[in-house]
Amino acid sequence: MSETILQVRDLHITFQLFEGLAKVIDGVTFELKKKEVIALVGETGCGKSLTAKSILGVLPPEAKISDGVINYKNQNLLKLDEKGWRRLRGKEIAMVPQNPMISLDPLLTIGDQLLDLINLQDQPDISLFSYYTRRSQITKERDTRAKAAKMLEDVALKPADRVMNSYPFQISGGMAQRVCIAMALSGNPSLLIADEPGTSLDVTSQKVILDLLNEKIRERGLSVIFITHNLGVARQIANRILIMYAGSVAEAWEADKIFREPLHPYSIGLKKAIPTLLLTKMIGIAGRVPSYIDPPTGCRFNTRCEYAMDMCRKVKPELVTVGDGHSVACYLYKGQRG
Amino acid sequence: MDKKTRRRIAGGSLVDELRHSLYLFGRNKLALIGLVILIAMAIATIFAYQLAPYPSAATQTNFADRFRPPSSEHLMGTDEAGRDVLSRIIIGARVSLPYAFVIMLTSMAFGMPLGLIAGMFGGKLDNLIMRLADIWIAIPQIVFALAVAAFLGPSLINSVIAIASCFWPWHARFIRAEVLHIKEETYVEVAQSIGAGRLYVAVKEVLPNAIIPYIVKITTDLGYAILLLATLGFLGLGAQPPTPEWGTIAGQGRTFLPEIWWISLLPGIAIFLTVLAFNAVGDGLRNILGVEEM
Amino acid sequence: MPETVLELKSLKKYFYLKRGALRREAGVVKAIDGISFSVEKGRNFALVGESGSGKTTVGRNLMRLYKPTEGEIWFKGEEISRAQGHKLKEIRRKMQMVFQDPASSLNPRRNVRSIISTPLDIHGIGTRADRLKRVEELLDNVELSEDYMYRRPTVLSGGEKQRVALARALASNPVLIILDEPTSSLDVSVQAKILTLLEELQKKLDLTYLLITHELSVVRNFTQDTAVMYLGKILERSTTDEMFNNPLHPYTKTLLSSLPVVFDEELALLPKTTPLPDASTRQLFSAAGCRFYTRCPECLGEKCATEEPPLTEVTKGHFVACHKCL
Repeated sequence: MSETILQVRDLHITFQLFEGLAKVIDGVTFELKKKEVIALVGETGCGKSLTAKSILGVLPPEAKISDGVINYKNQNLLKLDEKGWRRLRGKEIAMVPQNPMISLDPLLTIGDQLLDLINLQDQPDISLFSYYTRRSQITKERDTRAKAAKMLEDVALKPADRVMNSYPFQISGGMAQRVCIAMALSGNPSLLIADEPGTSLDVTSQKVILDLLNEKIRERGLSVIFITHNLGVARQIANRILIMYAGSVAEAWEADKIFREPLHPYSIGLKKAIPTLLLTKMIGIAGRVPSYIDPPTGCRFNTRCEYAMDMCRKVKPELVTVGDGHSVACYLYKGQRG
Repeated sequence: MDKKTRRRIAGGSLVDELRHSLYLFGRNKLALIGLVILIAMAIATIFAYQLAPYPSAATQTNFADRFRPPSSEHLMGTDEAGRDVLSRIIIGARVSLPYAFVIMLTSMAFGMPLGLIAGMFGGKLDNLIMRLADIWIAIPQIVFALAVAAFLGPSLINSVIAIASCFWPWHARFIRAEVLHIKEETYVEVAQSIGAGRLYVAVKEVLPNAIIPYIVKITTDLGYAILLLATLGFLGLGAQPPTPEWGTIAGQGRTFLPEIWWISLLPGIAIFLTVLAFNAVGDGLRNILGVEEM
Repeated sequence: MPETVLELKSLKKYFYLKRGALRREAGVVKAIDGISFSVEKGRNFALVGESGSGKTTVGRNLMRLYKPTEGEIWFKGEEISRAQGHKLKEIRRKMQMVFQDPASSLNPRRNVRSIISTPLDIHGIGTRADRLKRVEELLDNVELSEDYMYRRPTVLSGGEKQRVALARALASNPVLIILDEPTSSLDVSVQAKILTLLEELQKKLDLTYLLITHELSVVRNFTQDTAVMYLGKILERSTTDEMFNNPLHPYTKTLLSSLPVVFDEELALLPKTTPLPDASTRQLFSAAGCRFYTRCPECLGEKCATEEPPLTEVTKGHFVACHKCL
């Protein structure tokens, strides 16, 4: 039984907006075990990116964590100050960003960015002055360059020298994505958060990137939170899939099982909407995503659910285990109170 | 759908937008202060003769009372002809503000169409208009205004003409830049793919979008126009005494500084506050309209 | 008797790069380099390709946002590639396009009514009252309530925006609608609703669609004929059924095998291929040989490098441009 590396319990995140207080994340609970890959799947605005960002402590200033616990290796992340976060980021928890082209500094060569990363990784609190005075020495150090080259070769970017001397606009999207992956892995993190990697790429390039990620994950025994809205990608890369809707987890199960027999009405709706090669009829889900400022009481899916009962409109169902590794947040299934 | 329902729905959307806009505007405290000042100025302009404690101060002299410092009778003192300074400043709003608008409208009337044409047509026409604008801009505004004033004779009207004629190239350039940028947007392509001619694209697709940052620019420019008007007045090339234009008043009082400070300083403060107010309101408008730093 | 709505014959679009103060020609980008296909009435056609394939340029050429460099475009039996003025306007009434990003294809400063009315205004269709009625009718067609009339695009969701764009495309009663990645930016549940709507409208209004996309799973469910493009050329062309059941070209096979599928049963339907080397090598291709030469896993070597394979019919209606496939 593998140990748990990350625990998120009853997370609540709110945003203060003009129209009111938006209660976006409304009780997210899940666990990540060592060497496990989970996928946070959901449609636009369901809160999957936000959840991941809260694990890295990079929420936007308007956002506030109003409740909940995030435990990483038994450390409560919500009690960390900025200094504590900086010690974690990159070294323990790293992120592969969504759009690599805008995540790389356009004014520096890839090599420069890698060198900076390698040299400064262990000094999160270095002052600007020291950075500039030491910088000229840094770029000349031979082994740092060799380390950077090795990082690039590790993600199959050859020849490493040519890439190091290029600016981000001179390399393709796929190559930039690999650079970002290399950067994320450079600190030897235990937890990797991948935010929709490959969505900005062509389908053939995306496959290559996903294969690469899979390889690296297995090689290094990483625990991964994979964020995506593409159900096929989630299926290919994750051990477990968590389907999110309007700020909480609707259903969670093993990747190869969840779409075979989904239980939550939303999951069922999603399954019916997916275009497949099997020529099954595509059916959408009636209604639209609720507002977070004035969300439906009880289960947030009740306004669109064909099985909605009275209970659904009153109290929000909890995420309850209904089978081996299978949990659902829905009153249709046993284990729910009321 | 009948007319009534349609009006209700249209009205509803409008009200929602206005409410949201007011909220955004209100978030900028300086903009609110600016708005208050501008409203005060507007009231002063309209009700000048009712508000001024000594409505006759615009023209009537009273040499017995000259150079009185600020007191309870004359809140801002009296000037070299014995006229109440406060009244003159309030009445002066009637001069500065409306004429600033005239200047702005004239510049817009010339600058906007030219900029629109240059941007939409491109090519030689664009080149011609832009080179013309370049030449015009090359002449420093004050010098230009001085020259015109000297040529036509110093007066309020002439100074307005001078300033109005040197603003248009900036407007043309601005609109042209916006047009060029908006032309690249997908919805313009869409209109063209439907078969829209240049006129339709210009009026229905480009202009509504170009106007938005333009409004912000005009607001801040108004402040600048007032400043220029006052400058010319100060130098004696604009409004001539006894017209109570703020710059003219300040200019007249210059010779009596520094002991008799109230004649020059107080109109100066009025100018300062007005320009500041226009800038602040422009900034607030920027928030509403979603324009980034220009 | 199937009626051909649209036919392209050896369409070419080259972009000439001009450099220097004297605007001398420095190079050429052959975005479309001789493509031919025909779209039959009622049979949706998919033009599939990744970025750089030229598929978007085809759409823009058809809408005459670009002028074709060479080749013919036949629309409803008339050659239109050189049409101008009045004639062009007439054609535009009958051929409309729904653009890729719904957010940028709607003018943020116009309201829904004004946007949908655009084709009616431009072509001078009907009186003001007529146009209002038509807008109401169109909103109904795309399943949006009247409340939407005076809203601005910024308050609409992605799906709603796309419906408005669709209503606009339908306004002038077109015969052919070009859909440029109509659902790529939409969530899967919204996508399903939009595609269902498109199908219903097709039946109701006797439309034909040309779908330009990279999403193969949508192609499978929505179209009857498909052509695969790569660097300005068509590499394979056949009915959709045939393309998915029996893909011939190595590139097609690679595209299919890269599809991230959800259900295991689908996995069995995918061809097995080796993954492609990076797209950065894509730009290098010999002018004379096969466009796919530098990345093809089944390349025959010299023949593929020097001779460009012509599009040949292998089985009935199934065309491939590949030396190995013959």
